[in-house]
Amino acid sequence: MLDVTSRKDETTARLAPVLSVENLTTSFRTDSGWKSVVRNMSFDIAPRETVAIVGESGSGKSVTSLSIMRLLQKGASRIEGKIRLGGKDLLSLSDEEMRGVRGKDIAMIFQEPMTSLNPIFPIGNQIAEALTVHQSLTRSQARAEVTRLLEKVRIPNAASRFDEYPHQFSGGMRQRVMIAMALASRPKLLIADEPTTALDVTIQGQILDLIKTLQDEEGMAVLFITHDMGVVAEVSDRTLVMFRGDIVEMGTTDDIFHRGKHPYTRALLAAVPRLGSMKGRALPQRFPIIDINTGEAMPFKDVTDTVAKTKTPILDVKDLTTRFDINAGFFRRHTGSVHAVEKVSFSLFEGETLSLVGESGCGKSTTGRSVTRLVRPTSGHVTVDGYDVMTLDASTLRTMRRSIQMVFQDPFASLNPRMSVGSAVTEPFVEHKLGTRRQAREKAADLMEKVGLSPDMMRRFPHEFSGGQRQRVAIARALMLDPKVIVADEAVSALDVSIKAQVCNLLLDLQQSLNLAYLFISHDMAVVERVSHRVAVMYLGEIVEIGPRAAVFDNPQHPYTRKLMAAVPVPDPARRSLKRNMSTDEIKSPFRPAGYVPPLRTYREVSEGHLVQTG
Amino acid sequence: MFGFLVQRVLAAIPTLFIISLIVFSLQQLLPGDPALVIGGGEASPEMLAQIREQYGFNDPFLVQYWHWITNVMQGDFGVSFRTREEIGPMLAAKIPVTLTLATAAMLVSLVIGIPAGILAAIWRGRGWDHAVTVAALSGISIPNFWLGIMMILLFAVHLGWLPASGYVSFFDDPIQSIRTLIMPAIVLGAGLAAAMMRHTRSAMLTVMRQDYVRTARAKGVAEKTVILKHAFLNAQIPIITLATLQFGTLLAGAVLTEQVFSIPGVGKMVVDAVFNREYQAVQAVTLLSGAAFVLMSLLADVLYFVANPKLRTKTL
Repeated sequence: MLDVTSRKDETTARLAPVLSVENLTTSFRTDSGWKSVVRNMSFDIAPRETVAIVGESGSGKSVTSLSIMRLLQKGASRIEGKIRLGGKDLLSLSDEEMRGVRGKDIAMIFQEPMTSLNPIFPIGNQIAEALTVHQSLTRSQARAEVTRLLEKVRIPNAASRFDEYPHQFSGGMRQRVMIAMALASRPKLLIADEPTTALDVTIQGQILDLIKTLQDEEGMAVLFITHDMGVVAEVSDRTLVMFRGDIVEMGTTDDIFHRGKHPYTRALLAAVPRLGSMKGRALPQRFPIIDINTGEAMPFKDVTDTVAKTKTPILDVKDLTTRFDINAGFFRRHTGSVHAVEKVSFSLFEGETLSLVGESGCGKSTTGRSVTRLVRPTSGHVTVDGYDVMTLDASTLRTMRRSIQMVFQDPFASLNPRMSVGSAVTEPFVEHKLGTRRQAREKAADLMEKVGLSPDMMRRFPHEFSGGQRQRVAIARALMLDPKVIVADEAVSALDVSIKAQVCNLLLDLQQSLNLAYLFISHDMAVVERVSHRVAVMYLGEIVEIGPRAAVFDNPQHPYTRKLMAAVPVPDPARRSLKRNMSTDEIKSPFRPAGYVPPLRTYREVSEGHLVQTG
Repeated sequence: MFGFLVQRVLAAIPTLFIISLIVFSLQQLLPGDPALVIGGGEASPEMLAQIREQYGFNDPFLVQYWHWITNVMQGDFGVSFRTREEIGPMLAAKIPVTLTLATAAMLVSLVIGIPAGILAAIWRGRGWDHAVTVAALSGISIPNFWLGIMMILLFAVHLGWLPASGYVSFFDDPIQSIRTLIMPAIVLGAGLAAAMMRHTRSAMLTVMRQDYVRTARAKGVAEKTVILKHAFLNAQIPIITLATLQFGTLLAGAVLTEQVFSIPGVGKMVVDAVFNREYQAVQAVTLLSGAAFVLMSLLADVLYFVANPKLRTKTL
């Protein structure tokens, strides 16, 4: 009986969609009744096709994928409509029947490879489990099949890594393990929910390549969920744009990118930073903002040159080195150090933005923390606004911090949930005894307006704000002491595309009006290209290339800079068939054994101020 | 694994030393003259002075401590002043009794606490969860001795199912031994079972929200396996912590339970020793329970090591 239907499926598969979603509505139970988060969604996925669902946070894209898999918490959620997978309506299956579909017909990979694998089981067993829950295999058969899968996802020395635990793998390798697990039962459909969002850009390039290759080899359909328009352009045949629970537009990826009709689609695309869009410009540029309701572009001014090159630099760093000692073994002996920052030198002028760009572990954040002395550097010279940062005593250190302030990545974690936004913003002013509370409040109200919030909001608490608004609050707090330098450590990285564009524009506006200098720390090449005057590329604790933004982006010299730029997905559907053919090498660790003497580095001047490490 | 064990055992030595020092000095501060106990009420001042000299009560503190600790290390805990019995063999007879009781109580708490906690976590906010919470609160708040007396009244006096008191060694008569242990074990383990349930519940609630639990479901693993294998095995750490830490508390709680059920264990011996100012015996028991705590935290470290592959595969 079962055989007949499945054979019939195969013959009609060429015509019939693999998955067909009709009028899908998903609601969650709230205190005030059921609230729908996805409404009347309908779409098909054909065999071998890649469909992308794109949208910002809260658009319902992940809920859609979890609804298809029926992985939402029962009782707290309600799924209505029809989800057909080869003739079966998934929503009418019993729990046990649905369990047979999960991992077998539809497999899924998730955003967080670091937490998606069970920490207490060897990865081989976890992949084997995906096989054995759906078919009976002997131990040795399962082991052989797992090894084949590990080889398929290009994990080096696959057989020997069977018994290793997740923490022994890097993020990129864990995502490969997740993919191997998903492929175990040769699913008809793979749902990839932001599979590369948590990965570094060169690793993202590898994983995207891998998914494309495997899709060809296995002939599966892929439902790709992402917020990244660059990734969409590179992977998908068709694209669905979601906004607050509704599909606002659906079409071929080419149509969506070039002939998008809905204002939201256009706004989203306009806000996407596009690597290479700044050719021929020396200064930073604001992001174009499109009104979501009208689809009209709002006018924006070009920025003027704010860099005070003639004065002494406001921040001057020479041979900055920060190492973290590792002690291990029975007697906690010093066995080596993480050379987080190694002989880094740069200067930053008033009104200038210098970006530190690189992948995780390259030392960019530690550099930011070292110049503000949130961590104590090992050696070198740092001067901020005339203060010698390396030798400050505790009280002068506090005074110095008036000149240099930080804005951090996570707008949710960097505001105290028990403090009203008003007290959070006024606190630095009050703590530094710069005036009365009244003066503090007046200044804070003024800054709230400057960062695009209303002063009435000061009475509210952080949870009442969105991520973008919180980041504005964090910026207002940093400005409270009239700093000359702001260290923005991945300050826009956690924000949605459109919000990211707005906050970048805000930073540019503030630079124009307050002549601020930014040390802009980011992994996002496209944003960096947009906002910086100068760029420093970091790799394993060292600056490998530094220079004016235009020089570095138009004429990258160091192999690592080139690799980094080649890996950035560009929102252009013409790159759909692009394969980077990247090797599966991993990001190296800056750990060095005790007694290691770092080599002396020399730099070559390519053009004025554009230096490249030569050896 | 071996290196790790050696490291932990070595680290336990200074702890034990400090415990012995505290035990010994606290004893010195207690009121009551041991010479009086030995010589009896009507001893003359000369006799008392002689006793003090003989037993070394006049020696400086550190000298006394040195005598005591060197003897203890050779297994000699001294002699009872009243009965002239050696304390070492006396303890050796009583410790297994108390250990049996504490272990049985621990088993009771694990067998009741863990499944109840898992179920409460799965059915969070529903009837069972509330019922278990109420039961747990009662378990914590009902005093041991009262619960003991009520159970004796019901199961021994009224129903006659179980013996009201006494102790039978497991090796002499296993069935009778278990029958006599049931009530004391439940009485002693009830509070811990409640704590165990609350900890299991919160650990499970945390783990069930983890991404890897979703991964397990996404690959089609049956719900029972998801809960027992993928979730519970990750929720063990807080349970191990609680169980090992509380074992010492069980030993302390045994004092009362042994009294209620007339069990001839260390608890009963300690109470008698305190009343009779048998300070050598009190010192011995206090030192041993301190050592039990140290031993249990050593066991906890070993169990963490087994439960957490991150520790096991760490390259030192």
